Amino acid sequence: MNSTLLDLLMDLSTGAAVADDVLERHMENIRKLNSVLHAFITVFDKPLRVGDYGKRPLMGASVAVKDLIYVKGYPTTAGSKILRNFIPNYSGKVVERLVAKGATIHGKTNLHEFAFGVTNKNPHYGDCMNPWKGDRISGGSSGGSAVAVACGMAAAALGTDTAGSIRIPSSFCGVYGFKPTYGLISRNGVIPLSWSLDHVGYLGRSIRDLAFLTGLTSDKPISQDLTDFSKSFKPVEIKRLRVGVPRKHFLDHVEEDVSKNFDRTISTLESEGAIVRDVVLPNYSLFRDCRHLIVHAEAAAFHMKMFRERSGEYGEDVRRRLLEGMTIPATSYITALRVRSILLEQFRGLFKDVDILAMPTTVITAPRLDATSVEVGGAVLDIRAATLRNTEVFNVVGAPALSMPNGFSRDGLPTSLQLVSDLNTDWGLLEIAASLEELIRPSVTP
Amino acid sequence: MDEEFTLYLLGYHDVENLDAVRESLRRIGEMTENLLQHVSMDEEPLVDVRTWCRE
Repeated sequence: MNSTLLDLLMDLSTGAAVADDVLERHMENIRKLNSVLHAFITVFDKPLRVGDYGKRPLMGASVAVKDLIYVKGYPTTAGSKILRNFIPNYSGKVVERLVAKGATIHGKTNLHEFAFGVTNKNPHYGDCMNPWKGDRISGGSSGGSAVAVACGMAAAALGTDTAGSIRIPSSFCGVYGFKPTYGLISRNGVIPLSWSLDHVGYLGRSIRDLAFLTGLTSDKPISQDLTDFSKSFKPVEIKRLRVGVPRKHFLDHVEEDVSKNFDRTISTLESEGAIVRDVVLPNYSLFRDCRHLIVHAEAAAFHMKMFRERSGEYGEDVRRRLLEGMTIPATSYITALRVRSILLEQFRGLFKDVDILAMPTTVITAPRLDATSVEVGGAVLDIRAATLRNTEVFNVVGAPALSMPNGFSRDGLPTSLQLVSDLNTDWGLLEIAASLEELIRPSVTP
Repeated sequence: MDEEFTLYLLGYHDVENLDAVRESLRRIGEMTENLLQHVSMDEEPLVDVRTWCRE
């Protein structure tokens, strides 16, 4: 049940597995675990797929969809009580493409309300819990998708990422997550949190799975030829790969075991011949402020009408964030957009000297459900700030970024590595990550 | 900030916590100040969000 999507497809193609049986095993896991983990908001009585799915590349493999993305004829709640009965009359473009490629859509996964938070504590549909430890959160906002993949409730899952919402739960739940370059996968039919920062991407059980799904459903081709995936997707040599480590800010405050596992990964890279050097991303605080002003202002604009009429039905934390967004003057928002052009140039400048950036995805492991702050390296950090610390920057510049498991903490929680590359180099980043995956993949599953 | 102005600003009549609004405004002011230190007359807003990272 813990095989990768590509292994599963191999089994389906040789007749070693049957799509309906695989789906039934995923459904069985949902029935067994969902009342505790709250990974799914809606499980479809009748899964969505085309009649001749067996002849298409995904051959009936089940892909769960974050409940922020439209699936025609099924509820899309966005994790909110307000949209409990909202049923869209069309599917998001990415869902349409998945189904056309032979995927089975069998349910919608839990999220932080309106994707506006990183914990996945959800007052309306239950807190999404971490499969590795019962008192820990999944992280969010694509937490249900991460839990579904981690626990064999789906072969892969769709998520969205505005400040880390694919990578954070991937890191906390020990699965792989990929946020492609901004706009590479269509946002059509996705309820926005922030139009200019939202990215659609995948969570899965291997880098190759993420590459395969991204290649099949992207808005523009990211590989010359996807007809033979094994030929078009080639792991690259790590030797002489130039890896930049932005220690300042990204490694200032890191949990001990996260730090230890990251150092081990870097040693592995070096022993394979990679050239690792420290780099500095200038103006880190500007990235943070920019992201904060843009996401709050855009979210408030989207919600303004609904908020005036039904503010009492939002969860307390989301209500507070929207209220903050509504007080942002237009001049502040536009200033953030102006500064973004400077930040984009500075970010891209880093890739004159390195091929990729590497850092821990999250500086902490999954926090307890009731935690509001965490002590890391002598500093007390707010959970939200600690969680977003290494991910939010890369949404401001729209860069491709992925999270891959690289070990465990002493108390059995997953830790992860984040790799980032320049805009529109998604395929190359995935190929590098696939090479590294072989070297650092932990062998344990929940 | 007085309550009347807050309500005008929000077009909304159920502000249960004006202290939170004041705190938000303080934070937003600080962030804006930080950003303003770095813009010159040359920067234009990156507005075309659907195409800004296409090459």
